[in-house]
Amino acid sequence: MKAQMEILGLAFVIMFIAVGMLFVIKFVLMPSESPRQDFTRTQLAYNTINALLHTDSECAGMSFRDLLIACADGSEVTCGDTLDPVCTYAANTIKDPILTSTLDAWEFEYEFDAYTIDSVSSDEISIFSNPLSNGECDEWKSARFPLQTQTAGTMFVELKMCG
Amino acid sequence: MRRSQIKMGENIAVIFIFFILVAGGLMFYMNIKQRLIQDKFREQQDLMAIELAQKILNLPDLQCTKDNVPVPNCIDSMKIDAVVARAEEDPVGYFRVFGPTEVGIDIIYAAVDPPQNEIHIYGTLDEACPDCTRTLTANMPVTLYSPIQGSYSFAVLKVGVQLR
Repeated sequence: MKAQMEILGLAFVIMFIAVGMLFVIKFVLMPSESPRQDFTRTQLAYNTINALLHTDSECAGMSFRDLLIACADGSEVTCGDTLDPVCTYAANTIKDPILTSTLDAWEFEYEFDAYTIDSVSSDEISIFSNPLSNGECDEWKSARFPLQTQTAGTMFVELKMCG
Repeated sequence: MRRSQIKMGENIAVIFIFFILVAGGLMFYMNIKQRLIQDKFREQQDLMAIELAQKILNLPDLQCTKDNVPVPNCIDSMKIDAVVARAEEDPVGYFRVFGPTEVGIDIIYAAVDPPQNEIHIYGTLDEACPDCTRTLTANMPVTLYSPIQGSYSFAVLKVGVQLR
C-alpha cells in the first residue's frame, strides 16, 4: 500500500515536470510567426515585383516587363555601353541596384526567379535566378506574376521571401 | 501519538512544497504572459506604420492614374509637389491623414536621371522626442511616375513613425 502511494506521488511529480516542460516548449522555444510578419513579407514581395515590372529601363526605352519578355523570347537586343545581351542586362540591373538597395539593405533573405514552363514536360526553364546564399529556408512567402511572351509561352516572375 | 504527529508534519511539508511549486509555476507563467503582451503591443505599433504606408499608397492625392484608372503601387511625382505645397498651406489637413510621421521617397533606379534622389513629402521626426521609445520605418517599394519625362522609376516609400 505504502509503495503504491509512493509510486503515485512519483507519477504526480513527473506529470508536473511534463506540464512545465510543455509550457517552456510552447512559449519559449516555439515563438509563433505573427500574421503581421506573414502579411509584410507577402506584401513586400508583391510590391517589389509590381514596382519592378512597371519601371522603365535604360535599354531601348523598354520597361523591365518588356526586358524580361524579350529575354524569354531570345531577343538579340543589346543594352548599355557594354552591349550586354538583354538577359544579362536585366539580371544585372535587377540585382544591382534594385534588389541590393532594397531587400539586401533591409537584410531580407529572398530568391528572385524568372522562368517559363516547358509545354511538353511542364518543367520550369529558368531564365535567370538569384538564389538564396545558403540555399535553405523553412517557409517561403512568395509573389508570382505571369507575363505573356511571344514565343516562349507564359513566363513567371517570382520573388520568394524567406521567413 | 508521536508517530501520527510526524506523519502530519510530513503531510504539511509535502503540501507546502506543492504550493511552492504551484506558486513558482504561476510566476513563470505570468512572466511569459507579460512578455507576450508586450510583444503583442509592439506588433500593433509596427502594424500602424505598415497601415499608414498602405494608406499613403492608395491616397488619391498621390496615386498615379492612367485614363482616370488608379495604377496600383505607383506615386505621381507631380502630385507629390501638390501635396507638399498643400501641407505647407494647411498643416492640420494632412496631419489628420499622416499623423506625427515623416513620409519620403528614395529613388533607387531611374532610366532618366531625376532632379533629386530623395523626395521629402511630409513631416519631420522630432529628434528630441523625450517620450519616444523607438522610431520605426516602414519601407514599401513603389513606382514613381514622372509625367514630365513620361517615365517610371523604381523607388521606396519610407514612412517613419515615432512610438511612445
